[in-house]
Amino acid sequence: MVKIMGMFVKVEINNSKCKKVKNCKICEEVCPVEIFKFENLEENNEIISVIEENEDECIFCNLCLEKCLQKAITIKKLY
Amino acid sequence: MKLYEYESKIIFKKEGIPIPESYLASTPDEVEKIVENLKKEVAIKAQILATGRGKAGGISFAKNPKEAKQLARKIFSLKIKGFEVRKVLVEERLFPSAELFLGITYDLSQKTPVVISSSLGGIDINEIAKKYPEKVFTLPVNMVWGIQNYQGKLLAKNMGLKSKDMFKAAGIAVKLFNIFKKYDCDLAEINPLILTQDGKLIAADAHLELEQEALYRHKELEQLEIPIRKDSPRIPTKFEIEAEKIDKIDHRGVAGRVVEFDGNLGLLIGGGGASLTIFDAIRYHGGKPANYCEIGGNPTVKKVKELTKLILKKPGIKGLAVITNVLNNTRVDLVARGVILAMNELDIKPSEYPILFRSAGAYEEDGYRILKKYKIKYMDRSYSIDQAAKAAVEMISNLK
Repeated sequence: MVKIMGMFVKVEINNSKCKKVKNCKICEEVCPVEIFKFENLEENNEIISVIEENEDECIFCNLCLEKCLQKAITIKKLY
Repeated sequence: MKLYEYESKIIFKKEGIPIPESYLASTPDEVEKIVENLKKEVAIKAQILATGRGKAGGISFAKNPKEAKQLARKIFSLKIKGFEVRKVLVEERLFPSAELFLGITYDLSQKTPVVISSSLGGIDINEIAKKYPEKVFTLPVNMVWGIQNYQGKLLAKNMGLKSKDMFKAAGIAVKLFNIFKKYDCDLAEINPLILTQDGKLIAADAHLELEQEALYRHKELEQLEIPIRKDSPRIPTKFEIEAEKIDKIDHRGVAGRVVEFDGNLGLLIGGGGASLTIFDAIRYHGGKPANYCEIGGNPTVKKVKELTKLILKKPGIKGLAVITNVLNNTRVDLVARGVILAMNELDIKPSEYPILFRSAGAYEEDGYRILKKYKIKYMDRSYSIDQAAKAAVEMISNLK
C-alpha cells in the first residue's frame, strides 16, 4: 500500500516520559502546524498523540522540543 | 469591483453629490408605475457592468407611462456586450445646457491620483482625449491633502464654467475625491456631469470601481445594500473553482489564483510575482500551459499537495513544471513535500513522471535532498527561470 503520510518527518512521543507530568499539553499549545492532539479520555487517562495526517507539515521550528518538560519528543527527518 | 450605476448613485447621494430623482425597476410594469407616480419625462437606463450602453440602445427617453413601458420592454430584451439587462434605472429626464466630464483615477507612472475634467462630456473620455486632447485637463492630486478648493476651481474652469457654476463644480470635485479616497476606488467618474437649463449641476451618470483587495474594510457597503462580489470577465471553470477552494483551506500562504488553459504542461509556479514571467517564458519557448497559478507566502504542505493533485488530474496533462523565483518567504522543502505527497496519493511514481523542479531559496538544501531521494529532476539557482522554462517545454516535446 502506498504510504500517504509521514513520508518526510517522523514525530515520536515517549509516552512513559510524557505521562510523568499531568495535564500538560504544552506541545499541543506551541505547535504552529497542529501536529499534537491532547485528549482527556477519562480521569487519570490523558493522551498526547501525533496527528499523522499533519506530520509532514512539520517545519522543524523545534518549539515542542524546547518546551517539553520531560524531553519526551523526538523529530526525525526521513530524507 | 465595478458598481452598477444605481449603486454608485447610492454612494453619491450619501456623500452629497446631486443626482436626479431615480428609481430602480426590474420589470416593464414597475417602470410604468414609477413614471405614473413621477409625472415627469424620464430616462430609462439599462443597468449593466459595461460601458457603451447608450450606443447599444440601453438608454431611452419616454414622455409618458405607456411609452416608458414599451421602451423598457425593449431594453429588458437587450444583451449588451454579453450582459443581460435585469434592472433598469428610471430617472427624471434632465435637459442640459452643457454636458461635462469629471473623473478621478490613478496615474501609475506618477504614482498619484489624477483628476480629469473636460468640457466635453457624454462620450468616452478616451475618445475625447484622442480627438480633442486640448479639451482634457489633468491634475495630479496629493492623496493626503485631497482636492483643495483652488484645484476644484481650476478643474471647473477647464470645464468651461464660470462664477456660481464654477463654485458648484468645484464642490462636486471635492466630494468626488472624498468618495474616491473613502471607498478605496480605482476609478470615480461622472460622465456626463450635466449643467441643466435652469442652472443646476447634476451627476447624470455615476461610475465607481472599488479596489478588490480593499473591499474587506468596507462593511458599510452592506448597509447601503451594495453586495460585495468579484468581478470576472468570464464565469470561472470547475477547475478554477476547485483551486479557489484549495487556497481557502487555511490562511497560510497562497496556492491558488488558478486560471485554466487547454495545454498539456501543468504549472506550479510563483515567487514574488514571477508567475507571469514564468508563464510567458513557457509560452515563449513554445510550451502549452494547462494552467496558470500562483504559489507563495509559504503555503502549507497540504495546500501544495491538493493543488498539485488537482493539476495532475486535469485531462490532457503530460507533465508538470514546478518553477519559482528565488524565494525567501516560501520554503523549497515544503513545496517539494507537497508535490511528492500528491503524486504518491495519485499513485504516480515521481521518478518516472515528466516533472521538472526549479526552485531556490529558503530551505533549498532540504528541498534538494527530498527531490534527490525521489529521483526528481531539479535545477538550482544557477539556472535562470528562462532556462528552466525551456527545459520544461523540451521535456514535454521529447515525450514519445
